[in-house]
Amino acid sequence: MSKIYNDSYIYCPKLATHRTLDGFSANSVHHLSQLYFCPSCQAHKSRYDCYHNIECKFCSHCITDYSHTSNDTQRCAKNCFVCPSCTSSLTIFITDHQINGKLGKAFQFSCVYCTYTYQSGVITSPKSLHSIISSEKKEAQHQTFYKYQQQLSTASDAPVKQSETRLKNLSLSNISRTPDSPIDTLGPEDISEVRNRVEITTHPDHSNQYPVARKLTVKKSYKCLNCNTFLLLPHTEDGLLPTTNKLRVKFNAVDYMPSIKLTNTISPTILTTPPTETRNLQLECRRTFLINLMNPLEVDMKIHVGSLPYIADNFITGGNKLKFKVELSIPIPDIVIKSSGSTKNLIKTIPTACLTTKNTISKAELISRMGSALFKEKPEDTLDVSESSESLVAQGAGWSLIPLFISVQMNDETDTWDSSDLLDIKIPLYITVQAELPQAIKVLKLSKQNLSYGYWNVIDIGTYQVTK
Amino acid sequence: MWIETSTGNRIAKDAAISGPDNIVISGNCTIHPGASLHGDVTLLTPSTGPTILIGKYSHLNSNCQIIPPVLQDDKHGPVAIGAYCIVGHDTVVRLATIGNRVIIEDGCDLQNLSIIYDCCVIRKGTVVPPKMVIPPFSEVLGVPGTDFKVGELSNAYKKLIETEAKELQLQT
Repeated sequence: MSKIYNDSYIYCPKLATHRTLDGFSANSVHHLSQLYFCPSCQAHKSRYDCYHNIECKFCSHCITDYSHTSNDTQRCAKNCFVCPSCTSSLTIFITDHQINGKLGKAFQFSCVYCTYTYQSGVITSPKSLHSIISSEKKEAQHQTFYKYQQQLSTASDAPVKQSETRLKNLSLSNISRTPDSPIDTLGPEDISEVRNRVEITTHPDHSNQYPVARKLTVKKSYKCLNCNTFLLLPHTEDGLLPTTNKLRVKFNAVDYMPSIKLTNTISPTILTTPPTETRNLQLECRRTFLINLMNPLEVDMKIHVGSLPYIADNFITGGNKLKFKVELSIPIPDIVIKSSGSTKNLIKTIPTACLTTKNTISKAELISRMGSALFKEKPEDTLDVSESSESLVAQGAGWSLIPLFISVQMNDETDTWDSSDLLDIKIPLYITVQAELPQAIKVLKLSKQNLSYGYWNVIDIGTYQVTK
Repeated sequence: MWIETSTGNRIAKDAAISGPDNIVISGNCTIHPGASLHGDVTLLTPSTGPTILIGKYSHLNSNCQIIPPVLQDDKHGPVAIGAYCIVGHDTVVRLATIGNRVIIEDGCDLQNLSIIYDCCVIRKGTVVPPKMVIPPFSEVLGVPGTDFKVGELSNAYKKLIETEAKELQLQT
């Protein structure tokens, strides 16, 4: 089950203490992978619920450590320059020159990706590249302002103020079209020349663009805004290479919160025919989906999955969303997901709904899990159809599948069904988690004895067509 | 369709691997049909090491190309791809080094002599210009000169990319 490419988002109201869902906005939901988990508040934290501090800064190109420089240092002070047009690296060539009998050098910068080039002036005494470029930049600015000053100070060029009545009486006169404009005299043989001219004119003008020093890369520490607990702290000892990725403190949400994914039900014929995904919801007919829950902790996790009886309007987009009411029902909202800690075999930790038949290992595992369903005398349409609650749940090492029923109803009986009715549905689920404290939080010796938190999870199931 | 080795590598019979003597593939790697590895190039400084080195649990999707970077005229340098790397469909890799736990999505063009450090995600259709260095924990997207951007990637991706690579090895 891919935790990187899934459509499950967690609602993060900025700095809210009571996490209530007040609408779906792309700015207020984040992927689980982008969140931190505060062990003290026992809540997830987005980047906006934290404040950060720069622990280390370095140039990724020359690996120079700038951690001990002033806060203003944001760019590499060595010869690492990037193109002002495309931010690619610049290569530097040196050419020898002679000015007034003195030997000098000029530097030519050329971009490795685009056509940008820059030629510095000739210098006769040693100077850093940064000071050469900054002095030339200043000189160019001075020249520009000097030109403006000259134009402004020329009194004769100032426009003559004319009276309003005179301006009104002005009329267009003596307008004649010059018959021999170059475009009229152009023959078909000159077309290629014109094309060349166009290419030359569209060529970017780099005359007033100077090489830019490379931006530094930073390593940040993050702290919770509520309780000031470190959520992420990198190792930044002297002598350690800046590109090292070791961390002193790490509280990522993926390590403490369950991963949730919605999948279709598993067809018993999956081993013989590849599954075909139907993107439709039949009107007044129940469709079953599977909620895949994965426990990242080394202890068992008690989860309650809550939902509203129907999906609110602001979670549905589509042409005629007001015509329909999408009802939700979770027959088994409470579940205990066992830890996958002792399981060494990775395939055992993948939920059945995410197994494929493309690989022999995955197929063998799928056969072993589906065996009982396959050899039934009358195979049912889906794996989950049964009256007893035990068979509605599939469980394994660190994962669990529970069903979710979705049905679409007409809001008003007078409304008419249309074959072009498409609904883009997002399902909000309230997840409550209870577990023993994991070892990484126990060592902090916080006052809380258990792990207990709740949050809104929004699952984007995509666009479905409503059929009759 | 697949050749399976004792070290757990799965190599598609349709994969174009030239100069296999100069290629080292660590365990549990998957190379899909249409992927091409150019190990038969001439190195600028002949060494005993491999021209193409692929770390464990790496995943090369269909029609991707691994070409050692050009150093001088027709002379090439070696290319090293770290462990738990996923290279997408139709991606061309000409760079020098890819670190561990890197996802390169479909249709990317990683140009000559670039370096990608550990734990990076290169988004779909990205062009990484020549001699570019991508720092660790970066998300890269776009084309230079238009919308090229190197952003920060969450630390959680270190574990996620590793799991993703391991699961892909079991599921595709």
